[in-house]
Amino acid sequence: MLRFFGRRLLLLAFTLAVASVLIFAITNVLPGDVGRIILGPFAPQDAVTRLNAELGADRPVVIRYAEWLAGVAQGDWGRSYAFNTAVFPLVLERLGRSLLLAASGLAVLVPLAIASGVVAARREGGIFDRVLSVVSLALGALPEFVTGVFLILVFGIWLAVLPIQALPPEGAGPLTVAAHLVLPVCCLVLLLFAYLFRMTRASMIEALAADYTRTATLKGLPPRTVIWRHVLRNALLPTVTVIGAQIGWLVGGLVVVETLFKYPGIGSLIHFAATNKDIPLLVGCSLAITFVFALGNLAADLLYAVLNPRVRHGRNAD
Amino acid sequence: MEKRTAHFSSAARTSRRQFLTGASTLALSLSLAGAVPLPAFAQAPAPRRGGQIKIAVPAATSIDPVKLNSSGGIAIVQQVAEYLVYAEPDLTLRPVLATSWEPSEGGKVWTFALRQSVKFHDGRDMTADDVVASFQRLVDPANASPAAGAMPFLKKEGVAKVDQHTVRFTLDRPIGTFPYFTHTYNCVILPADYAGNFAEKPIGTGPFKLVSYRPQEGATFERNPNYWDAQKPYLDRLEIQTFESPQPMVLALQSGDVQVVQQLSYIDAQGIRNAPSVALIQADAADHRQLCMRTDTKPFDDRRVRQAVALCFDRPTMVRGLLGGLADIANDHPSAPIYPEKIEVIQRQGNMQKARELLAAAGYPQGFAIDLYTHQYLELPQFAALAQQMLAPAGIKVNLKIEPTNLYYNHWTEVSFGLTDWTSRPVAAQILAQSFRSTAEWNAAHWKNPQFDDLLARFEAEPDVGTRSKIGTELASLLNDEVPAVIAYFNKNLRASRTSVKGLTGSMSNYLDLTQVWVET
Repeated sequence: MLRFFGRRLLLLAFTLAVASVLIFAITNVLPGDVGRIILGPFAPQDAVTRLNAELGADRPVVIRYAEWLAGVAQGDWGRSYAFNTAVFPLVLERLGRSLLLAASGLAVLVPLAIASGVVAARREGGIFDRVLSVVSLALGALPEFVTGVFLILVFGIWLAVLPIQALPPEGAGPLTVAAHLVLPVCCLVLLLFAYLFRMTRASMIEALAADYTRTATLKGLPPRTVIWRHVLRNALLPTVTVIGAQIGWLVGGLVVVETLFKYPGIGSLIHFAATNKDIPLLVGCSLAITFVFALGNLAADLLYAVLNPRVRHGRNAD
Repeated sequence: MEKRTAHFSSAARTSRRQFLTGASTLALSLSLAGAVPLPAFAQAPAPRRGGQIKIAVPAATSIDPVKLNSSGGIAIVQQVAEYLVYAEPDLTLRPVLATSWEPSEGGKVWTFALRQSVKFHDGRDMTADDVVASFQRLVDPANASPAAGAMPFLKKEGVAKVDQHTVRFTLDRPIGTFPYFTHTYNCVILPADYAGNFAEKPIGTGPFKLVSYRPQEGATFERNPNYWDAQKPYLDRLEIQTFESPQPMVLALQSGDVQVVQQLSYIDAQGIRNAPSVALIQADAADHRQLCMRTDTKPFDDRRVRQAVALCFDRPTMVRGLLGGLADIANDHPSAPIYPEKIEVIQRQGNMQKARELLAAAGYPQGFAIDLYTHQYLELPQFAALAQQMLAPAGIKVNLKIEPTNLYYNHWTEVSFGLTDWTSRPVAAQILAQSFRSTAEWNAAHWKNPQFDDLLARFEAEPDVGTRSKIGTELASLLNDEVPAVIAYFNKNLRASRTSVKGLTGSMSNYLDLTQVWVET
C-alpha cells in the first residue's frame, strides 16, 4: 500500500512537471500579445512594446520557463501580468473557494444519486425508475446557464428566498455561507445527477443479476446484507472512478456556474488567465487544478482498493 | 474602446434636445415609442446624506491608472481619483481639480488654474507638482500608457508648473479643444510620488477612498470626509462589483443585490425595460461601428467599390434589426450629432441599382468574394451577418470570420475588410485623427488623403465652434465620398438603476460620477 502510494506521488510530481512545460509551450504559440491585451486596442504600439519588455513577455520562452521554475523552487509563483498581484495567494484563495463549492456539490450529489440509483435499480422499470430517468436526463441535458438562470429567477427574484450571489459577505457565519451556496450547488446537482444516477443504476442492475448475488440470496442472507455487502460494493466501483475523474472539472471547470452566481473561483481565474494570456497566472492555476485532479484520482483509486480487495491484493503481490 | 458601451437611441430628435437641456433619466418604454419623456428628477426632493449602494460594472483588469483600460477598472479608479475637468452628458465642461483654463498662442499653449486647498486621501495638499507629474507620467515614452495615444501632441517637456496652483501645457500644435483631452480616462491626478502600486496604495483626491480591491470581485469604498466639495458625496459607503458577463448584472439588479448597472447593452436591457422598480438612463454618444475597407489593396482600392458597398446598406433596417430602432443613422463619417459642430452632408440612402452600376464600372460586374473579419462582441457578429445578407444582391459574397476579441485586435488594422467598434471620444477631432489621418496607427482602411490631413489639422486647432462646423462638414463630405469606412449608425449608452437611486446621470463615455448620487430611504 505504501509503495503504491509513493509511486502515485512520484507520478504526480512528474505530471505537474510535464503540465508546466506544456502550458508554457502552448501559451507561446497562442495568438494575442500580452501588452496589447492589457493596454487595449487603442494604445500606441510603442507603449505595448514597452510593457512587454517590462513584463519580460518579449523574451524567449525557454528563458521565461527557466526563471519561472527557479522562482517556484523558492516558493515564488510570480506576478499576474493583468492584475499586477502575486499569483500564489490569489490562486490559493480561489482554490479554497472552488474546493468548498465542489465539496458541497459532491456532498449533496453523491448520496442522492447513489441512493436514487439503488432504489431505481431494485424496481427496474417501476414508476420511480422511469420518472427519475426521464426527468434527470432532461435536466442534465440543459446547460448550466439555463438551469442556473431559471433557479435564480425562481428562488432569487420571484420567491426571493435565496441569495443569488454565492459569495457571502465578509465575516459571515457558516449558516449564511451555506445559504449562499444553495443555488449554485443545486445547479451543479441538476447538471451531474443524471450521469451518476444512471451509472449507479446500470451497475446495480448488472450486479443484482450476477451469480454472486443469487448465491448470496440463496444461501439465506437478508436482502439488506446482500445489497450492502455484495451488490453495492461491486456496483459502486465504476461510480467511484467517475467521481474521481470529475473532481478536476468540478474544481477548475465551473466557469459558467461561477460567473452566473458571481462566485469567483479558480475556474473563472484560469479562464481569465487564458483569454488574457496572463502566463504566470495561467500556469499557477493549471498547476493547482492538476494537483487537485491528481489527488482526486488518487483518492478514488484508494477508495476503489478499499471497495475491491482484488486490486489491493494484486498490488501487494507485486 | 474598452469603455464597453451599450447602445440605445431614440429616433426622435426631440428627445435629444430634451437630453441636452438636462433630462437624462427617461423611462425606456417612453423613449422606445419616441415620445418626449419628462425629466424624472425635475421636482426631486433635496438629496439625503448617508446610505450606501452597490454598483455592477463589467470586468476589470489592471486598476493602475497609468495602464488602465478596462471599463470596470475605469469605474473603480474614477471614485478615488479625479480629472482636471469633467465632461457633462451634454459635453459642457465642469471644473473639477482645475477651476479655469485659458488658451494662448492660438491654442498651442493652455494654462490651467488649479483648485486650492484640495487634499489627497493621505492628507497632503494637491499642487501643481502633482498635476505636472501625473501628465508627464502618462506621456513619458518610458511608461506604457494608452493615454499617450490619445494625446500624441503632448510631450513630457510640454507640461510645466507656473506656480503652486497653475500648470501650463505647451502642445506640439494648436488644439482648440485641449481641455477635453485632460478628461481621457487615464488622466486622473495622482500624487507626484505615485509608484505604480494603485491596488496597494490608492491615493487620489476623489469623493471616495478605496478600502479594498479584489481581482474579479470588485472594490469597496468609504466616503472621503475631507472632500473639497464639502457637501459631497452624499453616500457613506459604496461597493463596486465586477461581472464577467452581462446577464448576472441584470439579474442582480432585479433581485436588488445591486442598485445600479453602470452600462448594459440594448439586448441585455430587454428583460428590465418594463420593470417598475428600475429606471433606465440613456445618454447620447458617439459610439459607432466602422466597417473599414483597405484602400491600398484590391478590391477596395477603387473608390467606386467602396461607394457600392456603402450603398448596399439599408440603414433604417439595420438600426431596427440590430438595436430595436434605438440608434441614430450615420452617414459614413464619425462626427456624431452630440458634438457641438453642426455637420451638414446629404444622407446616403440604400440603392442597390446604383451599387451594381458602380461595381460594373469598377470591373466587378459579377461582384467578388471577400472575408469580413470582426469579433465576438455586442451586436458586431449580427452586424456582420446582416452585412453578408445586404451585400449578397450586389454579388459580393461575404465570408464571415468572427473571432475572439483578443485575436481580432491583434490584426484588425491588417485585414482588408474589418468591422470594429469605436467608443465615444469627448471631441470629434479625436476619432477623426485616430481612425482616418494618413499617419494614424489605427487607420484600418490605410486611407491616405493629404487634403483630409490639412483640413483635420485646421479642425483640431480651431477654437471657434462655427468655423469648426464648416471644416467639419468638409471633412465629413470627404469621408462620405471616399468611404474608407462604412459608418451606419451611432449607438447610445444605457445605464440602469433601482428607482431609489437618485441623481445618477448617463455619460457619453460611460464614466461613473457618483458625487451627486444619493438614495431614498
